[in-house]
Amino acid sequence: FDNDRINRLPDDILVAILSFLSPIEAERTSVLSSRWINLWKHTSSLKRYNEYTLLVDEVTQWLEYASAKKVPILELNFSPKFDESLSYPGLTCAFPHEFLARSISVDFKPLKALTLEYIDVDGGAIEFFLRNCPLLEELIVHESKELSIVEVCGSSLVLKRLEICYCRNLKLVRVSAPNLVSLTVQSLEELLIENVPMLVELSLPWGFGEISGENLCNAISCCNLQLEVLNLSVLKNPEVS
Amino acid sequence: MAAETGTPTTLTLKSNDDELFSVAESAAILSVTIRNMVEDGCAGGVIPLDNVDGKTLASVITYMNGISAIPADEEKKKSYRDKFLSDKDFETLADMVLAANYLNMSCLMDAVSAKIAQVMEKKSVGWVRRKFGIENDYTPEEEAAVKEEHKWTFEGVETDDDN
Repeated sequence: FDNDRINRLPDDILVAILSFLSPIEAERTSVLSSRWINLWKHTSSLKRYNEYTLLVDEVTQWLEYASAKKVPILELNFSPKFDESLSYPGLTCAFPHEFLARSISVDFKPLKALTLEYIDVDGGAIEFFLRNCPLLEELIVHESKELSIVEVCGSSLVLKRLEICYCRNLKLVRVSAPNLVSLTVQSLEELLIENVPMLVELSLPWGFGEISGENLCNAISCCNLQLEVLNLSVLKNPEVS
Repeated sequence: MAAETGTPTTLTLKSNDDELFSVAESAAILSVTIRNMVEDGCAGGVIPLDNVDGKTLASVITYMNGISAIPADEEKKKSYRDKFLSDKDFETLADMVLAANYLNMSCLMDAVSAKIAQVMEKKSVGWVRRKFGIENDYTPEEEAAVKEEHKWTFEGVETDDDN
């Protein structure tokens, strides 16, 4: 080669360059030659890449990555606390809904646990994951602005743990999951429990709104016999007490 | 320039092929390496930069002067960097990234790294090998195995038969 100047750069500089590629592009360089096989593993792609692309692309990239790698556990947390250099409107990241629509090749079958934080998933996306992840045992969604109606219903669901919290526009969570053991929702008003014969732990950590003994009993009437743990966190109004 | 406000301090930089360059201290201290030398009082005479050749140093100084003339406006600085790098070939970019690393100039280092990364995007393995002068030292079996392991990263990438 008459021009191999780039290839003669030291490893640490090549790693710095690869850090500006998306995770997928960086990993592909492993095929270039034996010297490059592990360079991409040293990149901090996520951090650098943020400055040069939109976060929503990044959610897509990680979903593609998780799908291709057939990961059993996927946690995506786009909390601004994790990286103070990030700033995006509303402090949550848009969810690439078109990704779910276009991707016939996407495979989430091996997924057993999914956590999405600070990502604006809607009810349709939740249904997508429930439908396409037959092994899903744990689903956690925090801080989505787009979530208003969630239906977690299906006789074949193996879901054991469901947590939906800090979603300011949430209106309804309908739950009918025969294997559900633990359920956490932000408040009682939104909750519609149907078939949950295995539910032993119910948590209501976000005690906004009033919880009277009566509406609590109504809400959990179908499962109060087998409940073992009930976590309530209620904001007390001092004037009334 | 304006004599009554005092002449701005000028530094003399020497490349590894013995070319001498004059540059305003205010621009040169974009390099943390040079700034440290100035702060340590080593900048009285000539500052030798043993890892940078004259051609590259001239280019870096152009960048130092250009970027330090722009007031604190990240947009304008970025567009200056884009323009500055737009006509540079790979050979020059490789020299620049080495110089930026040695001189500890993170803004230039990041800009050149991003530029090199940008041209790699979506390009075939063969293209990158050719452009970067990378000799494929895998056996056909090894290459097939590495490709298989990372095959998901090849979706949407240009293909070429020239491996």
